[in-house]
Amino acid sequence: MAALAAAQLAFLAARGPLRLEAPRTVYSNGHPAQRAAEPYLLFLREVRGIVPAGATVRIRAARSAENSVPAFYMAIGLLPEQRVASSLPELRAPGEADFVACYGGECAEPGYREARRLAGGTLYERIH
Amino acid sequence: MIGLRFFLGIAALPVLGWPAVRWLAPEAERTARLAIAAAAGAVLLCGEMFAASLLGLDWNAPLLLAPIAVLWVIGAAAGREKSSGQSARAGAAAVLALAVSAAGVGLVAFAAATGRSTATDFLLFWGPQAQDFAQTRRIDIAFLAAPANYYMHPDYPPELPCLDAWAMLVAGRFAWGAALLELPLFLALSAAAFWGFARRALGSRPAAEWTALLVLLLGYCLTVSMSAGAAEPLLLFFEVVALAALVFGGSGALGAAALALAGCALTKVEGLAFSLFVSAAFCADRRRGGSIGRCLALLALPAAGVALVWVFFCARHGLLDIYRGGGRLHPEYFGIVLRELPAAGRYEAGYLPWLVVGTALAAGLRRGLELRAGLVAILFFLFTVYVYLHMSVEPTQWIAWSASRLLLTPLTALFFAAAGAAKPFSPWGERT
Repeated sequence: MAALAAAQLAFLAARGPLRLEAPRTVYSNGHPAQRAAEPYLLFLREVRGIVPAGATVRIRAARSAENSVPAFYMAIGLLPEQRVASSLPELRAPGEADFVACYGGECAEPGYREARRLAGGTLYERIH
Repeated sequence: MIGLRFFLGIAALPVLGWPAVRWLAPEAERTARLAIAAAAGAVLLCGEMFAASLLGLDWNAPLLLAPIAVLWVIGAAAGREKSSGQSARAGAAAVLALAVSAAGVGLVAFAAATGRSTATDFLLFWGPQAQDFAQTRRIDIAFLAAPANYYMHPDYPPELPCLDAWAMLVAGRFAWGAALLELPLFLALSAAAFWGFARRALGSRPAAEWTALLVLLLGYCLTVSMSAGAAEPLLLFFEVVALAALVFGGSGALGAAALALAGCALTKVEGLAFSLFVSAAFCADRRRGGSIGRCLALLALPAAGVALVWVFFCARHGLLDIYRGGGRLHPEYFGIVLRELPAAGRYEAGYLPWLVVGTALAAGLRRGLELRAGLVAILFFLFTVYVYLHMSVEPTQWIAWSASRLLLTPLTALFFAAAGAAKPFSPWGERT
Protein backbone atom coordinates (compact mmCIF):
# COMPACT_ATOMS: atom_id res chain seq x y z
CA MET A 1 0.00 0.00 0.00
CA ALA A 2 2.79 2.37 0.92
CA ALA A 3 4.51 1.70 -2.40
CA LEU A 4 1.34 2.53 -4.33
CA ALA A 5 0.81 5.72 -2.34
CA ALA A 6 4.43 6.73 -2.90
CA ALA A 7 4.14 6.04 -6.63
CA GLN A 8 0.98 8.13 -6.76
CA LEU A 9 2.64 11.04 -4.97
CA ALA A 10 5.70 10.82 -7.22
CA PHE A 11 3.49 10.87 -10.29
CA LEU A 12 1.54 13.89 -9.03
CA ALA A 13 4.72 15.80 -8.22
CA ALA A 14 6.22 15.03 -11.62
CA ARG A 15 3.23 16.51 -13.43
CA GLY A 16 3.48 19.98 -11.93
CA PRO A 17 3.53 22.05 -8.77
CA LEU A 18 1.53 20.52 -5.93
CA ARG A 19 -0.89 23.41 -5.57
CA LEU A 20 -4.65 23.07 -5.47
CA GLU A 21 -5.56 25.47 -8.23
CA ALA A 22 -7.55 24.94 -11.38
CA PRO A 23 -5.29 24.41 -14.39
CA ARG A 24 -5.56 26.81 -17.33
CA THR A 25 -6.91 23.97 -19.44
CA VAL A 26 -7.79 20.33 -18.75
CA TYR A 27 -4.55 19.34 -20.52
CA SER A 28 -2.24 21.83 -18.77
CA ASN A 29 -0.76 19.41 -16.23
CA GLY A 30 -1.19 16.32 -18.36
CA HIS A 31 1.06 14.17 -20.48
CA PRO A 32 3.70 16.19 -22.38
CA ALA A 33 1.78 15.61 -25.62
CA GLN A 34 -1.32 17.07 -23.97
CA ARG A 35 0.60 20.04 -22.61
CA ALA A 36 1.76 20.81 -26.12
CA ALA A 37 -1.91 21.36 -27.03
CA GLU A 38 -2.45 23.97 -24.29
CA PRO A 39 -1.80 27.04 -26.53
CA TYR A 40 -4.29 25.66 -29.05
CA LEU A 41 -6.97 25.19 -26.38
CA LEU A 42 -6.39 28.76 -25.17
CA PHE A 43 -6.67 29.96 -28.78
CA LEU A 44 -10.03 28.19 -29.11
CA ARG A 45 -11.17 29.89 -25.92
CA GLU A 46 -10.34 33.26 -27.52
CA VAL A 47 -12.22 32.32 -30.66
CA ARG A 48 -15.25 31.23 -28.65
CA GLY A 49 -15.43 34.65 -27.03
CA ILE A 50 -15.43 36.50 -30.36
CA VAL A 51 -17.23 34.47 -33.00
CA PRO A 52 -21.02 34.93 -32.65
CA ALA A 53 -23.16 31.97 -31.68
CA GLY A 54 -24.53 30.12 -34.69
CA ALA A 55 -21.78 31.34 -37.03
CA THR A 56 -19.68 28.84 -38.94
CA VAL A 57 -15.99 28.95 -38.17
CA ARG A 58 -13.37 26.99 -40.07
CA ILE A 59 -10.35 26.09 -37.99
CA ARG A 60 -7.00 25.93 -39.67
CA ALA A 61 -3.37 26.16 -38.63
CA ALA A 62 -0.73 28.47 -40.06
CA ARG A 63 1.53 25.43 -40.32
CA SER A 64 -0.51 23.04 -42.42
CA ALA A 65 1.00 20.02 -40.70
CA GLU A 66 -0.88 21.08 -37.57
CA ASN A 67 -4.25 20.67 -39.29
CA SER A 68 -5.45 17.38 -37.89
CA VAL A 69 -8.53 15.42 -36.98
CA PRO A 70 -7.85 15.77 -33.22
CA ALA A 71 -7.48 19.56 -33.57
CA PHE A 72 -10.83 19.64 -35.39
CA TYR A 73 -12.54 17.49 -32.75
CA MET A 74 -11.20 19.64 -29.91
CA ALA A 75 -12.64 22.67 -31.66
CA ILE A 76 -16.04 20.96 -31.90
CA GLY A 77 -15.97 20.41 -28.16
CA LEU A 78 -14.71 23.82 -27.16
CA LEU A 79 -16.82 25.90 -29.55
CA PRO A 80 -20.27 24.58 -28.67
CA GLU A 81 -22.20 27.67 -29.71
CA GLN A 82 -20.53 27.87 -33.11
CA ARG A 83 -20.66 25.52 -36.07
CA VAL A 84 -17.16 24.19 -36.62
CA ALA A 85 -15.75 23.27 -40.01
CA SER A 86 -12.44 21.59 -40.74
CA SER A 87 -9.69 22.67 -43.09
CA LEU A 88 -8.70 19.11 -43.83
CA PRO A 89 -9.65 18.38 -47.43
CA GLU A 90 -11.17 15.03 -46.53
CA LEU A 91 -13.37 16.57 -43.82
CA ARG A 92 -14.16 19.87 -45.44
CA ALA A 93 -17.85 20.67 -45.54
CA PRO A 94 -19.45 22.29 -48.58
CA GLY A 95 -20.16 26.01 -48.40
CA GLU A 96 -18.15 28.92 -47.11
CA ALA A 97 -17.49 29.55 -43.45
CA ASP A 98 -18.40 32.88 -41.86
CA PHE A 99 -15.04 32.98 -40.12
CA VAL A 100 -11.65 31.38 -40.49
CA ALA A 101 -9.70 30.98 -37.26
CA CYS A 102 -6.03 30.61 -38.05
CA TYR A 103 -3.96 29.09 -35.24
CA GLY A 104 -0.33 29.99 -34.78
CA GLY A 105 0.05 32.85 -37.25
CA GLU A 106 -1.59 34.20 -40.37
CA CYS A 107 -3.31 32.44 -43.23
CA ALA A 108 -5.00 35.01 -45.39
CA GLU A 109 -7.50 33.60 -47.89
CA PRO A 110 -9.26 35.20 -50.83
CA GLY A 111 -12.75 36.32 -49.83
CA TYR A 112 -11.80 36.87 -46.18
CA ARG A 113 -10.44 39.88 -44.35
CA GLU A 114 -8.62 40.07 -41.06
CA ALA A 115 -11.09 40.64 -38.23
CA ARG A 116 -8.89 40.34 -35.16
CA ARG A 117 -5.36 39.52 -34.08
CA LEU A 118 -5.48 36.99 -31.28
CA ALA A 119 -2.80 35.90 -28.85
CA GLY A 120 -2.79 32.49 -30.49
CA GLY A 121 -3.40 33.40 -34.13
CA THR A 122 -5.62 35.44 -36.38
CA LEU A 123 -9.35 35.55 -36.98
CA TYR A 124 -10.68 36.30 -40.47
CA GLU A 125 -14.23 37.05 -41.49
CA ARG A 126 -15.89 36.53 -44.83
CA ILE A 127 -16.26 39.57 -47.11
CA HIS A 128 -19.91 39.86 -48.12
CA MET B 1 -21.54 27.34 -9.90
CA ILE B 2 -21.90 25.68 -13.29
CA GLY B 3 -19.19 23.20 -12.35
CA LEU B 4 -20.82 22.49 -9.01
CA ARG B 5 -24.21 21.93 -10.61
CA PHE B 6 -22.66 19.66 -13.24
CA PHE B 7 -20.91 17.60 -10.55
CA LEU B 8 -24.04 17.42 -8.42
CA GLY B 9 -25.94 16.13 -11.44
CA ILE B 10 -23.64 13.09 -11.44
CA ALA B 11 -23.35 12.88 -7.66
CA ALA B 12 -27.15 12.63 -7.49
CA LEU B 13 -27.13 9.21 -9.17
CA PRO B 14 -27.59 7.33 -5.87
CA VAL B 15 -30.72 9.39 -5.16
CA LEU B 16 -32.13 8.63 -8.61
CA GLY B 17 -31.52 4.89 -8.28
CA TRP B 18 -32.26 4.46 -4.58
CA PRO B 19 -35.76 2.96 -4.93
CA ALA B 20 -34.40 0.15 -7.13
CA VAL B 21 -32.09 -1.15 -4.40
CA ARG B 22 -34.95 -2.87 -2.57
CA TRP B 23 -35.39 -5.18 -5.56
CA LEU B 24 -31.73 -5.52 -6.55
CA ALA B 25 -30.05 -6.32 -3.27
CA PRO B 26 -32.53 -6.04 -0.42
CA GLU B 27 -30.15 -7.36 2.20
CA ALA B 28 -27.06 -5.40 1.27
CA GLU B 29 -25.23 -3.14 3.69
CA ARG B 30 -25.69 0.63 3.62
CA THR B 31 -22.53 1.49 1.69
CA ALA B 32 -23.18 -1.29 -0.81
CA ARG B 33 -26.72 0.03 -1.22
CA LEU B 34 -25.29 3.47 -1.96
CA ALA B 35 -23.13 2.05 -4.74
CA ILE B 36 -25.93 -0.12 -6.12
CA ALA B 37 -28.23 2.90 -6.10
CA ALA B 38 -25.65 4.89 -8.08
CA ALA B 39 -25.31 2.05 -10.59
CA ALA B 40 -29.10 1.80 -10.85
CA GLY B 41 -29.42 5.57 -11.26
CA ALA B 42 -26.84 5.56 -14.05
CA VAL B 43 -28.42 2.66 -15.94
CA LEU B 44 -31.94 4.00 -15.41
CA LEU B 45 -31.05 7.47 -16.63
CA CYS B 46 -29.23 6.20 -19.70
CA GLY B 47 -32.09 3.80 -20.44
CA GLU B 48 -34.58 6.65 -20.26
CA MET B 49 -32.48 8.90 -22.45
CA PHE B 50 -32.04 6.13 -24.99
CA ALA B 51 -35.76 5.31 -24.95
CA ALA B 52 -36.67 8.98 -25.38
CA SER B 53 -34.33 9.18 -28.37
CA LEU B 54 -35.96 6.09 -29.87
CA LEU B 55 -39.39 7.67 -29.41
CA GLY B 56 -38.29 11.04 -30.76
CA LEU B 57 -38.90 12.84 -27.45
CA ASP B 58 -36.63 15.72 -26.51
CA TRP B 59 -34.82 15.30 -23.21
CA ASN B 60 -35.77 17.56 -20.36
CA ALA B 61 -35.67 17.25 -16.59
CA PRO B 62 -39.40 16.56 -16.03
CA LEU B 63 -39.42 13.86 -18.71
CA LEU B 64 -36.38 12.12 -17.26
CA LEU B 65 -37.37 12.51 -13.63
CA ALA B 66 -40.99 11.41 -14.00
CA PRO B 67 -40.32 7.63 -14.25
CA ILE B 68 -37.88 7.92 -11.34
CA ALA B 69 -40.54 9.70 -9.29
CA VAL B 70 -42.93 6.84 -10.10
CA LEU B 71 -40.33 4.38 -8.83
CA TRP B 72 -40.01 6.37 -5.62
CA VAL B 73 -43.78 6.28 -5.17
CA ILE B 74 -43.93 2.52 -5.80
CA GLY B 75 -41.07 2.03 -3.38
CA ALA B 76 -42.80 4.13 -0.73
CA ALA B 77 -46.09 2.26 -1.25
CA ALA B 78 -44.30 -1.05 -0.75
CA GLY B 79 -43.48 0.00 2.79
CA ARG B 80 -40.25 0.00 4.72
CA GLU B 81 -37.46 -2.08 3.34
CA LYS B 82 -36.33 -5.23 4.98
CA SER B 83 -33.65 -4.37 7.47
CA SER B 84 -30.20 -4.81 6.02
CA GLY B 85 -28.96 -6.16 9.28
CA GLN B 86 -26.47 -4.67 11.61
CA SER B 87 -22.78 -5.17 10.94
CA ALA B 88 -20.27 -5.23 13.70
CA ARG B 89 -18.82 -1.83 14.56
CA ALA B 90 -15.61 -1.07 12.76
CA GLY B 91 -12.66 -1.16 15.14
CA ALA B 92 -9.80 1.33 15.24
CA ALA B 93 -7.75 -0.61 12.69
CA ALA B 94 -10.67 -0.69 10.26
CA VAL B 95 -11.28 3.02 10.73
CA LEU B 96 -7.62 3.69 10.01
CA ALA B 97 -7.78 1.62 6.82
CA LEU B 98 -10.91 3.46 5.74
CA ALA B 99 -9.11 6.74 6.40
CA VAL B 100 -6.37 5.52 4.06
CA SER B 101 -9.07 4.84 1.45
CA ALA B 102 -10.43 8.35 1.88
CA ALA B 103 -6.92 9.78 1.52
CA GLY B 104 -6.43 7.69 -1.63
CA VAL B 105 -9.62 9.09 -3.13
CA GLY B 106 -8.39 12.56 -2.12
CA LEU B 107 -5.14 12.08 -4.03
CA VAL B 108 -7.06 10.99 -7.10
CA ALA B 109 -9.40 13.96 -6.74
CA PHE B 110 -6.35 16.24 -6.65
CA ALA B 111 -4.93 14.56 -9.75
CA ALA B 112 -8.21 14.93 -11.62
CA ALA B 113 -9.00 18.47 -10.49
CA THR B 114 -5.57 19.72 -11.51
CA GLY B 115 -5.68 18.07 -14.92
CA ARG B 116 -2.98 15.50 -14.18
CA SER B 117 -5.04 12.50 -15.25
CA THR B 118 -7.13 13.90 -18.11
CA ALA B 119 -7.93 11.42 -20.86
CA THR B 120 -6.98 12.66 -24.31
CA ASP B 121 -10.20 11.13 -25.60
CA PHE B 122 -12.19 13.33 -23.24
CA LEU B 123 -11.65 16.34 -25.49
CA LEU B 124 -11.71 14.32 -28.68
CA PHE B 125 -15.02 12.52 -28.40
CA TRP B 126 -16.45 11.72 -24.95
CA GLY B 127 -17.00 15.39 -24.10
CA PRO B 128 -18.03 16.60 -27.57
CA GLN B 129 -20.53 13.75 -27.93
CA ALA B 130 -22.11 14.46 -24.54
CA GLN B 131 -22.25 18.17 -25.21
CA ASP B 132 -23.90 17.69 -28.57
CA PHE B 133 -26.42 15.22 -27.13
CA ALA B 134 -27.39 17.74 -24.45
CA GLN B 135 -27.67 20.54 -27.00
CA THR B 136 -29.87 18.51 -29.32
CA ARG B 137 -31.58 16.83 -26.34
CA ARG B 138 -31.27 13.37 -27.81
CA ILE B 139 -28.72 10.82 -28.96
CA ASP B 140 -27.87 12.83 -32.04
CA ILE B 141 -27.82 10.47 -34.99
CA ALA B 142 -26.89 13.23 -37.45
CA PHE B 143 -23.85 14.12 -35.35
CA LEU B 144 -22.74 10.52 -34.97
CA ALA B 145 -23.34 9.72 -38.62
CA ALA B 146 -21.50 12.77 -40.01
CA PRO B 147 -18.53 11.47 -42.00
CA ALA B 148 -16.34 14.20 -40.51
CA ASN B 149 -17.05 12.80 -37.04
CA TYR B 150 -16.26 9.20 -37.94
CA TYR B 151 -13.25 9.01 -35.61
CA MET B 152 -15.51 9.92 -32.67
CA HIS B 153 -16.59 6.27 -32.74
CA PRO B 154 -20.27 6.51 -33.69
CA ASP B 155 -21.27 3.16 -32.19
CA TYR B 156 -19.52 3.44 -28.82
CA PRO B 157 -22.16 2.67 -26.16
CA PRO B 158 -24.02 5.72 -24.82
CA GLU B 159 -23.80 5.45 -21.02
CA LEU B 160 -21.11 8.05 -20.35
CA PRO B 161 -22.22 10.59 -22.99
CA CYS B 162 -25.77 10.29 -21.64
CA LEU B 163 -24.66 10.84 -18.03
CA ASP B 164 -22.55 13.85 -18.99
CA ALA B 165 -25.41 15.18 -21.13
CA TRP B 166 -27.71 14.81 -18.12
CA ALA B 167 -25.22 16.76 -15.98
CA MET B 168 -25.10 19.44 -18.68
CA LEU B 169 -28.89 19.66 -18.68
CA VAL B 170 -28.69 20.19 -14.92
CA ALA B 171 -25.86 22.73 -15.14
CA GLY B 172 -26.90 24.55 -18.32
CA ARG B 173 -23.44 24.18 -19.81
CA PHE B 174 -20.80 21.51 -20.22
CA ALA B 175 -18.31 21.84 -17.36
CA TRP B 176 -15.06 20.30 -18.59
CA GLY B 177 -13.27 20.61 -15.26
CA ALA B 178 -16.14 19.20 -13.22
CA ALA B 179 -16.52 16.21 -15.53
CA LEU B 180 -12.97 15.18 -14.61
CA LEU B 181 -14.13 14.72 -11.01
CA GLU B 182 -16.20 11.74 -12.07
CA LEU B 183 -12.95 9.78 -11.68
CA PRO B 184 -12.68 10.23 -7.88
CA LEU B 185 -16.46 10.00 -7.54
CA PHE B 186 -16.71 6.61 -9.23
CA LEU B 187 -13.59 5.44 -7.41
CA ALA B 188 -15.24 6.35 -4.09
CA LEU B 189 -18.41 4.53 -5.15
CA SER B 190 -16.32 1.49 -6.13
CA ALA B 191 -14.79 1.54 -2.67
CA ALA B 192 -18.26 1.81 -1.13
CA ALA B 193 -19.41 -1.22 -3.12
CA PHE B 194 -16.42 -3.32 -2.15
CA TRP B 195 -16.50 -2.34 1.53
CA GLY B 196 -20.25 -2.82 1.73
CA PHE B 197 -20.20 -6.31 0.26
CA ALA B 198 -16.91 -7.51 1.74
CA ARG B 199 -17.54 -6.38 5.30
CA ARG B 200 -19.92 -9.19 6.19
CA ALA B 201 -17.89 -11.82 4.42
CA LEU B 202 -14.43 -10.80 5.62
CA GLY B 203 -15.09 -8.90 8.82
CA SER B 204 -14.55 -5.18 9.28
CA ARG B 205 -10.79 -5.01 9.55
CA PRO B 206 -9.81 -7.22 6.57
CA ALA B 207 -12.56 -5.65 4.45
CA ALA B 208 -11.34 -2.15 5.28
CA GLU B 209 -7.76 -3.15 4.44
CA TRP B 210 -8.75 -4.69 1.12
CA THR B 211 -10.81 -1.58 0.38
CA ALA B 212 -7.81 0.65 1.00
CA LEU B 213 -5.71 -1.53 -1.28
CA LEU B 214 -8.35 -1.41 -4.00
CA VAL B 215 -8.57 2.39 -3.81
CA LEU B 216 -4.81 2.87 -3.96
CA LEU B 217 -4.43 0.30 -6.74
CA LEU B 218 -7.22 1.53 -9.02
CA GLY B 219 -6.65 5.15 -8.07
CA TYR B 220 -3.02 4.98 -9.11
CA CYS B 221 -3.67 3.03 -12.32
CA LEU B 222 -6.58 5.23 -13.40
CA THR B 223 -4.46 8.32 -12.77
CA VAL B 224 -1.36 7.27 -14.69
CA SER B 225 -3.39 5.75 -17.53
CA MET B 226 -5.04 9.18 -17.97
CA SER B 227 -8.64 8.13 -17.49
CA ALA B 228 -10.35 11.24 -16.12
CA GLY B 229 -13.20 12.24 -18.38
CA ALA B 230 -13.15 8.89 -20.21
CA ALA B 231 -15.43 5.92 -19.63
CA GLU B 232 -12.99 3.74 -17.66
CA PRO B 233 -13.80 5.09 -14.16
CA LEU B 234 -17.48 4.37 -14.80
CA LEU B 235 -16.75 0.97 -16.36
CA LEU B 236 -14.53 -0.06 -13.46
CA PHE B 237 -17.19 1.09 -11.02
CA PHE B 238 -19.73 -1.22 -12.67
CA GLU B 239 -17.15 -4.02 -12.75
CA VAL B 240 -16.36 -3.64 -9.06
CA VAL B 241 -20.07 -3.64 -8.13
CA ALA B 242 -20.63 -6.80 -10.18
CA LEU B 243 -17.60 -8.66 -8.85
CA ALA B 244 -18.14 -7.55 -5.24
CA ALA B 245 -21.78 -8.67 -5.40
CA LEU B 246 -20.86 -12.04 -6.89
CA VAL B 247 -17.77 -12.78 -4.81
CA PHE B 248 -19.06 -11.56 -1.44
CA GLY B 249 -22.76 -10.88 -1.81
CA GLY B 250 -24.39 -14.27 -2.03
CA SER B 251 -27.41 -15.17 -4.12
CA GLY B 252 -29.37 -12.18 -2.76
CA ALA B 253 -27.09 -9.85 -4.66
CA LEU B 254 -27.51 -11.45 -8.11
CA GLY B 255 -29.85 -8.63 -9.16
CA ALA B 256 -27.25 -6.01 -8.29
CA ALA B 257 -24.62 -7.95 -10.22
CA ALA B 258 -26.90 -8.27 -13.25
CA LEU B 259 -27.62 -4.55 -13.20
CA ALA B 260 -23.91 -3.70 -12.96
CA LEU B 261 -23.10 -6.06 -15.84
CA ALA B 262 -25.74 -4.32 -17.94
CA GLY B 263 -24.05 -1.05 -16.99
CA CYS B 264 -20.74 -2.45 -18.24
CA ALA B 265 -22.30 -3.36 -21.58
CA LEU B 266 -23.79 0.13 -21.89
CA THR B 267 -20.50 1.84 -21.09
CA LYS B 268 -17.88 0.31 -23.36
CA VAL B 269 -17.63 -2.27 -26.11
CA GLU B 270 -15.34 -4.42 -23.98
CA GLY B 271 -17.85 -4.08 -21.14
CA LEU B 272 -20.07 -6.57 -22.96
CA ALA B 273 -17.21 -9.04 -23.18
CA PHE B 274 -16.54 -8.61 -19.47
CA SER B 275 -20.22 -9.17 -18.68
CA LEU B 276 -20.37 -12.39 -20.67
CA PHE B 277 -17.13 -13.70 -19.15
CA VAL B 278 -18.35 -12.94 -15.63
CA SER B 279 -21.71 -14.55 -16.31
CA ALA B 280 -20.07 -17.69 -17.65
CA ALA B 281 -17.45 -17.94 -14.90
CA PHE B 282 -19.81 -17.40 -11.99
CA CYS B 283 -22.72 -19.43 -13.30
CA ALA B 284 -20.61 -22.47 -13.95
CA ASP B 285 -19.99 -22.66 -10.21
CA ARG B 286 -22.62 -24.87 -8.63
CA ARG B 287 -21.83 -23.62 -5.12
CA ARG B 288 -24.13 -20.68 -5.73
CA GLY B 289 -27.14 -22.97 -5.94
CA GLY B 290 -29.92 -22.89 -8.52
CA SER B 291 -29.59 -24.03 -12.08
CA ILE B 292 -26.76 -22.86 -14.29
CA GLY B 293 -29.22 -21.84 -16.99
CA ARG B 294 -31.26 -19.64 -14.66
CA CYS B 295 -28.17 -17.98 -13.26
CA LEU B 296 -26.75 -17.42 -16.72
CA ALA B 297 -30.01 -15.94 -17.92
CA LEU B 298 -30.27 -13.65 -14.92
CA LEU B 299 -26.73 -12.35 -15.22
CA ALA B 300 -26.07 -12.34 -18.94
CA LEU B 301 -29.45 -11.47 -20.45
CA PRO B 302 -29.71 -7.86 -19.23
CA ALA B 303 -26.19 -7.08 -20.48
CA ALA B 304 -26.69 -8.89 -23.77
CA GLY B 305 -30.14 -7.34 -24.13
CA VAL B 306 -29.07 -3.72 -23.74
CA ALA B 307 -26.09 -4.29 -26.01
CA LEU B 308 -28.30 -5.87 -28.67
CA VAL B 309 -30.77 -2.98 -28.56
CA TRP B 310 -27.90 -0.51 -28.94
CA VAL B 311 -26.39 -2.48 -31.83
CA PHE B 312 -29.79 -2.65 -33.60
CA PHE B 313 -30.18 1.09 -33.08
CA CYS B 314 -26.74 1.71 -34.60
CA ALA B 315 -27.40 -0.68 -37.47
CA ARG B 316 -30.70 0.99 -38.26
CA HIS B 317 -29.04 4.39 -38.47
CA GLY B 318 -25.90 3.34 -40.31
CA LEU B 319 -23.64 3.88 -37.30
CA LEU B 320 -22.20 0.39 -36.99
CA ASP B 321 -18.43 0.32 -36.88
CA ILE B 322 -16.67 -1.53 -34.06
CA TYR B 323 -19.64 -3.81 -33.35
CA ARG B 324 -19.55 -4.88 -36.97
CA GLY B 325 -16.47 -6.91 -36.07
CA GLY B 326 -15.31 -9.22 -38.78
CA GLY B 327 -11.75 -7.95 -38.86
CA ARG B 328 -9.24 -10.37 -40.31
CA LEU B 329 -6.91 -12.21 -37.94
CA HIS B 330 -3.34 -10.96 -38.30
CA PRO B 331 -1.02 -13.61 -36.84
CA GLU B 332 1.90 -11.39 -37.87
CA TYR B 333 0.84 -8.93 -35.15
CA PHE B 334 1.40 -11.50 -32.45
CA GLY B 335 5.01 -10.46 -31.85
CA ILE B 336 3.99 -6.81 -31.65
CA VAL B 337 1.23 -7.57 -29.16
CA LEU B 338 3.61 -9.71 -27.10
CA ARG B 339 6.11 -6.85 -27.01
CA GLU B 340 3.84 -3.83 -26.61
CA LEU B 341 1.18 -5.14 -24.23
CA PRO B 342 3.59 -5.72 -21.32
CA ALA B 343 5.11 -2.31 -21.98
CA ALA B 344 1.67 -0.72 -21.63
CA GLY B 345 1.14 -2.59 -18.38
CA ARG B 346 4.07 -0.94 -16.60
CA TYR B 347 1.92 1.91 -15.30
CA GLU B 348 5.03 4.09 -15.03
CA ALA B 349 6.13 2.25 -11.92
CA GLY B 350 7.89 -0.89 -13.10
CA TYR B 351 4.79 -3.12 -12.99
CA LEU B 352 4.11 -2.12 -9.37
CA PRO B 353 0.31 -2.69 -9.61
CA TRP B 354 0.88 -6.22 -10.92
CA LEU B 355 3.47 -6.89 -8.23
CA VAL B 356 1.01 -5.78 -5.56
CA VAL B 357 -1.77 -7.97 -6.93
CA GLY B 358 0.68 -10.83 -7.53
CA THR B 359 1.81 -10.66 -3.92
CA ALA B 360 -1.80 -10.72 -2.74
CA LEU B 361 -2.50 -13.70 -4.99
CA ALA B 362 0.54 -15.55 -3.66
CA ALA B 363 -0.60 -14.87 -0.10
CA GLY B 364 -4.07 -16.17 -0.95
CA LEU B 365 -2.86 -19.38 -2.59
CA ARG B 366 -2.88 -21.27 0.66
CA ARG B 367 -6.53 -20.43 1.32
CA GLY B 368 -7.71 -21.17 -2.20
CA LEU B 369 -8.07 -18.31 -4.60
CA GLU B 370 -11.37 -17.00 -5.92
CA LEU B 371 -10.87 -18.91 -9.16
CA ARG B 372 -13.97 -17.55 -10.90
CA ALA B 373 -12.57 -14.01 -10.76
CA GLY B 374 -9.22 -15.37 -11.88
CA LEU B 375 -10.91 -17.02 -14.85
CA VAL B 376 -12.52 -13.69 -15.78
CA ALA B 377 -9.07 -12.06 -15.70
CA ILE B 378 -7.63 -14.71 -18.02
CA LEU B 379 -10.57 -14.60 -20.44
CA PHE B 380 -10.49 -10.82 -20.62
CA PHE B 381 -6.74 -10.78 -21.18
CA LEU B 382 -7.16 -13.25 -24.07
CA PHE B 383 -9.97 -11.06 -25.40
CA THR B 384 -7.61 -8.06 -25.32
CA VAL B 385 -5.00 -9.99 -27.32
CA TYR B 386 -7.72 -11.12 -29.73
CA VAL B 387 -8.81 -7.50 -30.29
CA TYR B 388 -5.30 -6.31 -31.09
CA LEU B 389 -4.69 -9.27 -33.42
CA HIS B 390 -7.78 -8.26 -35.41
CA MET B 391 -6.93 -4.60 -35.93
CA SER B 392 -7.04 -3.34 -39.47
CA VAL B 393 -3.85 -1.35 -38.89
CA GLU B 394 -0.54 -2.25 -37.29
CA PRO B 395 -1.46 -2.14 -33.57
CA THR B 396 1.62 -0.62 -31.91
CA GLN B 397 0.08 2.84 -31.60
CA TRP B 398 -3.33 1.50 -30.59
CA ILE B 399 -1.77 -0.55 -27.83
CA ALA B 400 0.16 2.48 -26.58
CA TRP B 401 -3.06 4.51 -26.56
CA SER B 402 -5.46 2.04 -25.03
CA ALA B 403 -3.88 -1.03 -23.43
CA SER B 404 -3.07 0.49 -20.05
CA ARG B 405 -6.78 1.18 -19.62
CA LEU B 406 -7.93 -2.16 -21.07
CA LEU B 407 -5.63 -4.03 -18.70
CA LEU B 408 -7.35 -2.45 -15.72
CA THR B 409 -10.14 -4.99 -16.05
CA PRO B 410 -7.99 -8.14 -15.67
CA LEU B 411 -6.03 -6.36 -12.95
CA THR B 412 -9.27 -5.72 -11.06
CA ALA B 413 -10.47 -9.28 -11.58
CA LEU B 414 -7.15 -10.61 -10.24
CA PHE B 415 -7.55 -8.36 -7.23
CA PHE B 416 -10.89 -10.04 -6.53
CA ALA B 417 -9.29 -13.45 -7.03
CA ALA B 418 -6.96 -12.56 -4.17
CA ALA B 419 -9.50 -10.75 -1.98
CA GLY B 420 -12.00 -13.58 -2.35
CA ALA B 421 -9.41 -16.00 -1.06
CA ALA B 422 -9.18 -14.09 2.18
CA LYS B 423 -12.75 -14.92 3.15
CA PRO B 424 -12.50 -16.27 6.67
CA PHE B 425 -16.24 -16.83 6.91
CA SER B 426 -19.39 -16.27 4.94
CA PRO B 427 -22.75 -15.49 6.52
CA TRP B 428 -24.46 -17.08 3.54
CA GLY B 429 -22.67 -20.34 4.14
CA GLU B 430 -21.71 -20.78 0.52
CA ARG B 431 -18.04 -21.12 1.13
CA THR B 432 -15.79 -21.45 4.07
